[in-house]
Amino acid sequence: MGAKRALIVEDSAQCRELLGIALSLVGINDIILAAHGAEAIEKLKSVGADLVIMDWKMDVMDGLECTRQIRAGIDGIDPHTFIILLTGSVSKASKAKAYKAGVDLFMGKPFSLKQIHAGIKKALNRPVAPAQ
Amino acid sequence: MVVDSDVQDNIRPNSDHCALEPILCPGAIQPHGVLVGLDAESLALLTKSANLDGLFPDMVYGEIPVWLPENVIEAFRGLRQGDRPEFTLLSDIAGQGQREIHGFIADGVLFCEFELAPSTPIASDFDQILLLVNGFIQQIDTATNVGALSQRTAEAVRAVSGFERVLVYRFDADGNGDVLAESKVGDWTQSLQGLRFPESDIPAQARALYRGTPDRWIPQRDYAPVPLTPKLDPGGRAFNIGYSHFRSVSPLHRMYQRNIDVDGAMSVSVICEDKLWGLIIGHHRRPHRVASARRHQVNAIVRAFSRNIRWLQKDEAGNDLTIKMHNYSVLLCRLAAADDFLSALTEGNPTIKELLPACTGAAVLWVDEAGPQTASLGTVPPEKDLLALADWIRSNATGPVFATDHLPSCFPQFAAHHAIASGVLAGMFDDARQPIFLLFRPEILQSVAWAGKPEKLIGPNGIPNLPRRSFDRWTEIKRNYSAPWLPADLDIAKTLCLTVNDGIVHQNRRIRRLDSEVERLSLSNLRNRLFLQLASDGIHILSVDGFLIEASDSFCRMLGYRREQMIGMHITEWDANFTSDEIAESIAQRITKQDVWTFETIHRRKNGSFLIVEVSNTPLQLDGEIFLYNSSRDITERKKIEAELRRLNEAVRQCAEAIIVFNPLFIIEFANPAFEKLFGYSQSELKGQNLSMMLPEDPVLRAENGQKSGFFQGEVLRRAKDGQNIPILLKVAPLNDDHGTPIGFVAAMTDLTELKHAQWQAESSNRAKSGFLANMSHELRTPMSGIIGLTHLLRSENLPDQTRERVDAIARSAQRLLGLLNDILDISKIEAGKIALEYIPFSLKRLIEDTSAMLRPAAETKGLVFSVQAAADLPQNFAGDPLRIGQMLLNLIGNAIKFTESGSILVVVEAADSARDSAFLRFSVTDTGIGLSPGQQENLFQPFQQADGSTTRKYGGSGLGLAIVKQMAALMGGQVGVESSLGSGSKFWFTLKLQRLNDDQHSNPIAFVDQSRSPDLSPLNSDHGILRGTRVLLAEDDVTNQTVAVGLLESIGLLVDLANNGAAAVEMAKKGDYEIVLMDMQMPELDGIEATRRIRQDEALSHLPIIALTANAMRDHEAECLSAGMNDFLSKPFDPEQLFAVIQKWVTGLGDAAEVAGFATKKMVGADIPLPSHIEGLDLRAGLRRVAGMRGLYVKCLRNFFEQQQDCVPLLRQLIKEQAIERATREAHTLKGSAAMIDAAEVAELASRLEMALAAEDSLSPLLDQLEKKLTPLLTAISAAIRHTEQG
Repeated sequence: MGAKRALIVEDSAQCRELLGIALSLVGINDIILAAHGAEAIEKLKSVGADLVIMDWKMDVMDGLECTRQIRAGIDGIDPHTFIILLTGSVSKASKAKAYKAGVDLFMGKPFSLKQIHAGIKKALNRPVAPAQ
Repeated sequence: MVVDSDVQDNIRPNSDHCALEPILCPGAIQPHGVLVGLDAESLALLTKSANLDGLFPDMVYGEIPVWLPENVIEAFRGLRQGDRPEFTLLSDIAGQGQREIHGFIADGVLFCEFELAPSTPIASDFDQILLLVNGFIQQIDTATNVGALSQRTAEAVRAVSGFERVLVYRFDADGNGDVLAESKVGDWTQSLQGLRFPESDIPAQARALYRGTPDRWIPQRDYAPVPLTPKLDPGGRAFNIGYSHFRSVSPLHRMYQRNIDVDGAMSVSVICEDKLWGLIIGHHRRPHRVASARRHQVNAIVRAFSRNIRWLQKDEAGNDLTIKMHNYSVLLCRLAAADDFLSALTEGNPTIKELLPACTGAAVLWVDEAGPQTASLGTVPPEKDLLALADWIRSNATGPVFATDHLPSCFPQFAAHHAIASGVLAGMFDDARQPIFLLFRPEILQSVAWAGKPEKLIGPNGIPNLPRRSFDRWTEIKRNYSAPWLPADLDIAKTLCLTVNDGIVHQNRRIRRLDSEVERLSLSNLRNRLFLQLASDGIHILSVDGFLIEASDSFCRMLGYRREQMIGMHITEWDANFTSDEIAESIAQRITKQDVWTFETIHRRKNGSFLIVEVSNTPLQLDGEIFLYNSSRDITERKKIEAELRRLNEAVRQCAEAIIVFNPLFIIEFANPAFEKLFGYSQSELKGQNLSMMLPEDPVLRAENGQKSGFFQGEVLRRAKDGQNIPILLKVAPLNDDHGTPIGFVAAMTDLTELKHAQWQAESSNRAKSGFLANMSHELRTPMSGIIGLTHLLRSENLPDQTRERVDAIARSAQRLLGLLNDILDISKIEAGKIALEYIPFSLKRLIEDTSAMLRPAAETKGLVFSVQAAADLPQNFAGDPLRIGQMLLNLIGNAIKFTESGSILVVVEAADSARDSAFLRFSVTDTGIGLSPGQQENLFQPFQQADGSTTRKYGGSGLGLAIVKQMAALMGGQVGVESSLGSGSKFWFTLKLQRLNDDQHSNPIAFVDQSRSPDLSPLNSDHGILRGTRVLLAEDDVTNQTVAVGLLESIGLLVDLANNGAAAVEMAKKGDYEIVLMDMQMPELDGIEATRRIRQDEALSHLPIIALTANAMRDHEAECLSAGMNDFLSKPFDPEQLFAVIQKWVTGLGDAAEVAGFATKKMVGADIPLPSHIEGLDLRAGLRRVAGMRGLYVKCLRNFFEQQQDCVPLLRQLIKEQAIERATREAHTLKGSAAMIDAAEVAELASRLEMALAAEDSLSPLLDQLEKKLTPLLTAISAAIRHTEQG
């Protein structure tokens, strides 16, 4: 497992901090931030990331739209980038919608360190995607 | 053309014209090289080749040439010191580049020369040449006869050198040369194959030079010689440049070359056993220069040729010699056995005629009283001619052997007999009878193909026709020659003569001498007398009346007499076995017999001692008189050995142990009766059989029987005749002969059948005992759990003093009983082999600290000084079973405290031996207590043993502690021990072998787990205030246990719901909002394991902590619990503190830390941060769980919340007032999320409602008021808590 980079797209400072800590606890210290989906796409285009942890509800571009664009592989973004979607609305319908859009992991808020840790582990241990 | 002629004189010219040529000192060299001659001491220039001026015009005589390279000067030193006569090396010559320099020393002058044109740089095809040469050398090495070898070599040399014709030329003993092989280009019709060249072509002087120098290369025949200037050395002699590669060739030689139409040429010497065997000669019709690399390869091929020639010649000569030696040795044996060696030479097979091959006649001549005698074999000349020849040879021969292969020319009288006797070999014996033997070989007409007619070699006036112009084939037939006598033939004849002279003739002389001595005894048979003297057995000859007539020295020595004392003694004087009558009677019988009679008797020595002898007796008739010939052999030693052997044999036979002897191939040679009895085989069934017949048939059992060589001792199974496998103790030892060579093995076997049976019975009863104890202790734990728990509850109530004292007494008794139960369980588990050691990383320092901390208060309460010593450089990180090690150390420290009334207790931990991967640790506990007498120490580490019975009465204890320590230490590869004396304290110690870990491995989160999971070792916060209000689900069916558990839990403010069985527990867990589940393992309907599995199936409950409670303390049970999804494990009866600690660990998230906090900093964990047990409006435990129990992190979250949200309500009011609904919504949303993250449920709920109200444009004021009412005190409380942590 080489050095990994994570992109956090979240407007709550508190969440950002806890996510940062969870990442650092598994050894990921290369963390970049984006305020919303559009910014996330820009960041992914310019520097890329192995893992995206993203809020659903955001200004300009929400998490689901951002997920769809990543999965479409626009502008050379790796369509297999692991995406964890965080949301306060944890209904079954929301969950289904999120997975349909292409998120890898749907996670309710508020989350615990242990939960997010498990999510990150899942992302890191994911089998390598077959070459296109 | 064939000419019949006698060429004796012509082939050996009187004057050797080539021989007179100054070939060593021609005074000139060939123009393709340059040469200087230097003074051996000063290296001053003495002479140089004239062509050197073109290269170095400034050379001055008397000075060292400036261009002389350093390494050449160095090599000259070696020449001067006589290390070797010449050298070749590569060196840079100023202005010329690299050259192959050849240096040599001759007559005190150092010479140095090199080729004028640059040495051909390593040819581009050099690798190919090497391959080619390698191939040739392989071919050469595989040739099986001289002809094939020569032909292959000629071809190989031609291919490598590029000469048009290459000859293999062999010198005969006279220096004539034969062309054995030729390889040439097709268009050169002149063939020299098979021709013989006279000796004068390459005279002795040239051959000597060729012997000394390996090769000569003449690129061009018609060159202008370059003179040496000066030609003469300071002493007026011509410089000796015989070793020079460029030495000018003699004009005669050049003419010779012209005559055979050769221009470029080479000759390479073939040296075989230090002699010049021949030459490999290269011819070219035009000038031909060979590059140095190729020259070296040609030399390599010739060396391979020389080597093989030597082997082949040895081989051929060897075969020949073998046949000759055979005849020789057979003949010699016969001669040695014969009465008269002279007649033996001509009688039987082989005779002297067969001694050497190709002899057609032989004769032996000698002179006796009757005159000259002749015995002849095969075809020989008449007797008178033989006698004449013998006389002639006797007067001309210089040694014992004479031979010629052309007798008619030496001894003209034999010219008439040339057909049958052209060759003769004579051998003479050193004897008065002047014996001589003659071997004759017939004439062989020899055909020789000469290169040119030999008689033309000398011109009419004696001046040689050299060099010859004609090399036409000219065949000569030699007459009056026999096959040559080879050196080996002469050697054999000579050896025969010398052997006969030395041996038989010598003996004859001795016999004659003895003859005169024994004349008076009329013993005319000399050889008998001789034999008598030489024999090692005691030979003695008796007269028929029993008197000693003659005795050998050995017989006299045997009996300790001098010979002159013995002669004339009567047999009864030394025979100690028979009476004189018996002797007389047996003599009377014997003299009528002819045979040899052997019997045993006893001889008495002069000094009275006895020896046992074996006597061979033969009657002997000499000169008509009868004697008794006796030979006594001392067999005393043999008898002794025989007796000993008999005794040993009897001992082995009578031995109760089964004994068997077998050879190195495991073939049985002997078995004693005990062996026969044990395995049911008879001796005859065993002898000659392979031992494998006794191995068990079962391949698994067989495999264990694999060890069979050398010394062996062990328990094995062996199969008896009836197929039963018998357990035996097998002891095998090798048997060696006097030289240490193994000749077999001896094995002793003890039947273990009964022993094994007894052992099995003992073991099984022990197992039953251990099983019983394990069961009992388990069964006892359950009621103990109730007693201890209820007592604990009782003690927390308000009780009258007297009652409290009694309750305390119950508590102490219960604790002791529990300790005893635990010890019994431990020891029985160990004995039943059921103990499984943990293998987890741990910190030694932490282990020592924690262990000490547990007992330090007890020691200090007693007024003892308690100290711990551990070297600073002690390795810290290990993998092993820290709980057990702690238990062992606790045991020793506990004992020390128990038995020490005053003074000190010292705990020392040291590394006895520390390697990179492992360490041998030694833990010792020294006290100043009552100490132990040697008798008390004896059984100290046995179960249920204490120093003595009174110890138990006075100090209590199970007596199992030390036994457990000992068993544990043994399991961990260590030992235990005690050093003590009565009244002056004790030192108990144990050692362990542990695997070391490096620092990286130690940061492994497992280490974290272990320590956090060992509440008994890490004195956690015993303030359980934070647990107040924790919602617990207790699944337990036993009413007593329910009472105990609920009582304990409620005593510290936990909210307990009870499930009576597993199914109910699953239902309740799904419905209720529990923070932790305590699950009994044995429940009706659904046991704890299954209930846990079902709870875990609900995703929402995947993180709910579930703790197993069980009376089963087995560790494999624990593993089963964890794999079912339980988080932790607590065995009953538990200490209330243990229960609280495990609950606290899991409800405050610490249990998760192991998994999550891999890289957590100490600050983040903040284990020591004091938190209030309750903050109004916050669910403290849920918040801690959210951050995996990391208090530092939790406090940070609180601070973040405080800082971000402290002005939240005023801001919301402002925004709403300004109708900035969107921003207000976002603020409410953020507040909702933030509050949820710190588990401020009410505030989060209100924020959520506010968010919705903003969207619905509902009335907001009441909500804002409500929010403010909740948020403000929350912020205040958080602020206070943060301040509290900072102060703490």
